[in-house]
Amino acid sequence: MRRLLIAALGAVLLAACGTDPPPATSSSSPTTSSASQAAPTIPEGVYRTHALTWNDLVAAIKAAGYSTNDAASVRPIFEFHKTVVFTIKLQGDQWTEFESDDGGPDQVGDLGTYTVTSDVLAMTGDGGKGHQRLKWTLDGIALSLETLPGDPQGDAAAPVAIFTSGPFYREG
Amino acid sequence: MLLAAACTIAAPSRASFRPRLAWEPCPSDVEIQFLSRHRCGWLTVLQDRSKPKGKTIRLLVVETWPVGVAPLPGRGFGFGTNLGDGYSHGSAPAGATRLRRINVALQLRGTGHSQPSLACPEANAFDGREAGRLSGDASLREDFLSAVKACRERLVREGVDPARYDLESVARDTEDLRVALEVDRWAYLNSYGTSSRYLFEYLRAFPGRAQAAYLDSPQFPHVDEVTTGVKATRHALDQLFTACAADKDCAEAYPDLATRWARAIHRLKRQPLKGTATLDAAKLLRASRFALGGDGPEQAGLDLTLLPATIAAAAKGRISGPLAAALEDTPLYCAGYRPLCVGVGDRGFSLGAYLTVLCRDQAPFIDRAALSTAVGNDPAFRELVDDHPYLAACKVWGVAPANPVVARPVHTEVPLLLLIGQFDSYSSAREARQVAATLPRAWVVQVPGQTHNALGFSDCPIGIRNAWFRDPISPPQNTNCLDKLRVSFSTAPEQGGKP
Repeated sequence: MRRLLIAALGAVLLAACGTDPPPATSSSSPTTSSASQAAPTIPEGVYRTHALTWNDLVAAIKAAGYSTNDAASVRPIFEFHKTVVFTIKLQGDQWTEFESDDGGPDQVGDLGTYTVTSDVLAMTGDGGKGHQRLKWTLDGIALSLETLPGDPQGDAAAPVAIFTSGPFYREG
Repeated sequence: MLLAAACTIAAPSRASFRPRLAWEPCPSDVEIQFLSRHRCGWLTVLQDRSKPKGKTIRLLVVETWPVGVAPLPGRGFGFGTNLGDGYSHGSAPAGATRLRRINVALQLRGTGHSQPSLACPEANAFDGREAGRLSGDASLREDFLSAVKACRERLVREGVDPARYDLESVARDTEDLRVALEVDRWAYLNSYGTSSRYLFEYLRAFPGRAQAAYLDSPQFPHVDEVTTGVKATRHALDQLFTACAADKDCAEAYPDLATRWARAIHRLKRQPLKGTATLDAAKLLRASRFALGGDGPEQAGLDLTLLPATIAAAAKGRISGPLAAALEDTPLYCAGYRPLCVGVGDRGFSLGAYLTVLCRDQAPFIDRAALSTAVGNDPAFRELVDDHPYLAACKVWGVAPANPVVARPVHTEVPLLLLIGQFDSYSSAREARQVAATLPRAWVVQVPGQTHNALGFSDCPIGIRNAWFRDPISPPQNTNCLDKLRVSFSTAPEQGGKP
């Protein structure tokens, strides 16, 4: 049985939700490939990153305001040696995040439920524990996620690395 | 062996009921866990096989294909995670790929999506109320027992017979599934943690139905989980003290950790600590067992690497942050009694399924003298056992003892690989070696630096397992990679109060 990263992320996500997150402060609007007049949303499906190195993850962690030490502290959570591919599956109101270490099979890292507003992807961890709010933009098939300015980050460097090192490219 | 099987499993009924397997779309929370080929089905079986016209139950079956390679003939079968725990199918494709077999998972009766569920939301309502209480708090205990009683009464009203969710019934479900799938023999069986009790009962009841089995962090049928837990925890603590002394940074930061542990227990016995959570001697032992039996280094904030700092802090009268988090965040009576304290829904905990196996298949057969010897004069261990909430719950769960054969050692010709972490407080390497010595084809791999979940943290034991599986009648080869595994303890001040 693989290590349950679900627990890991559940814990760090929980650390990030000690206080209710403030409303999104970003004023930028996402773009979509759809010409529809409906509110922009993220189409259901499977979104996958390119192969990422540890340096890529560190860059994302630091871009979110964390220190090099913060990044180092979450390195043991990740099991890849050279590269990792993150994948997000969105279906119904549920999401799952997968990891493929060093070209190996995809394995579930975390999962839960989500909602999408015009520019915010709000993800809740398994059983309602832990929350992650990310600004999203969709450019063609490329889904980019960013931390929201002013949102409490707590010890959430690991999910920051997972979700913001992208972009994620839609499959199919 | 056949006689033993006959003692365990009643003779087949002459009635006409036949188990049925029907393939259907997966439940959405199962479907979301897959990117590769899989399918779901429902196995319908009798709740009580002695009543052919009685209640039927439905068990969710999930088949997973290898990714990128054609499966070899035969299917593997897994008994899931620790007793009562729910299901994650997230690593099933990886496992199927590594062993190149279609992997079959059955959400065991009473658990997960299977219908009916023996989960007890009545008891879950008390999660979070333990943090500020002392161990053995009588009021909380009464609330818990009342909830268990209410859960049982509700289930009985719904037609559930809790006794029928035992080891014997699950073994028979597994055999019914094998027949329904038209599998001649399982290519392999596997279990994780305390679900090994199901696997051993299947081997006992249905000899010759599997080619090999690997068991991660197993317990064994002839030793109950309470006695194994005391022995394994004591051994794991000794391993921790030794490992810290051998680690330069840990030894420097926390010299003579064993003495610090004794000091902490003595101090907490006299004067519990109060902060955001209350800490007494038994709760420190439980939290330590939680960390040592941890299924992940981050579950609820406390893990093996933080334990020396946590013990040192307690010896100085402080509750470390990770310890406080563990005390506050884990479900009622989870830390220190159950290996895994995460998951909800179908991945959550089925208290009823757990209690039936504990109360029917284990508790009646506890060797009280052996347990007393294991506890010794240690007050914390004594309190852990005397205040055991789940043994107390057996009185209200009300299931009759199983046939005593379920608590006897299993003899099997099936090749077994037993993988156990060095620091596992729920599984005993010593017991595993004793068992292996009595079997013709059983081997033990102790994984250095690991807790419960010996296969979960490193490619090394996975590679050993994969290689062994290609020739399971021989001992595991090329285990040198184990020599490189070790734990690195945290000595950072913010992790628990460096002295």
